[in-house]
Amino acid sequence: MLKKLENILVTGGGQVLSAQTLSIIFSRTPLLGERLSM
Amino acid sequence: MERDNFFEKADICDFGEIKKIFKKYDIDTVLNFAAESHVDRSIFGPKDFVQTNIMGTFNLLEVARENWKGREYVLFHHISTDEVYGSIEEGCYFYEDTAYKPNSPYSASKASSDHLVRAYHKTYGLSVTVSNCSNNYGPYQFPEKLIPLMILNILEEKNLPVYGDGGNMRD
Repeated sequence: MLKKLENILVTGGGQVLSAQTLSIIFSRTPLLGERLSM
Repeated sequence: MERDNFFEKADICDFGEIKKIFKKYDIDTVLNFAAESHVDRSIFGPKDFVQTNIMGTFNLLEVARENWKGREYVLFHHISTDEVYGSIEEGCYFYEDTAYKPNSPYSASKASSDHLVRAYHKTYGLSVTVSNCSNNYGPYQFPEKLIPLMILNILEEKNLPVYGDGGNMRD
């Protein structure tokens, strides 16, 4: 699934969006309705 | 090398503009960081917080719902805050199923937007995730935020401002 998410709209907060944040978000399979602990 | 990052200046409360952006880039994923986020500002002027955090998130959800009908590989990730859970007792932790107890207009507006995101999943089957994190930080962050404020004050040998007696805890 992750490989097929390609066109990402990042709203606001661009200044705090780090590679680390993105990797945390996408390192876990995004299940429907799942809450992520960061 | 082909350019793969684009900047669009738009208001998330502007439904038409967000709709255009979705179409233009064939958006399949939203990471919603956009928010009014300074607690003190929310106390003096809560209206902007209600407008941006609740109505803005609603707009994004609506555009996503409209554009993603029948699409499988999509994701709406909503960035929230630990503040939706209110104050923490010593020795306790927040969990995903901890009851919401927002204490400021800011956290109430974020809690409301979290509920909308959840409702769009339950009602419309939208693929969503929510993260409730403490004190996001990073390069070029506005210096009113905790971590850059502390770093800048340390560099300038100024006092480090804390709320209350400094005993407040985070999960």
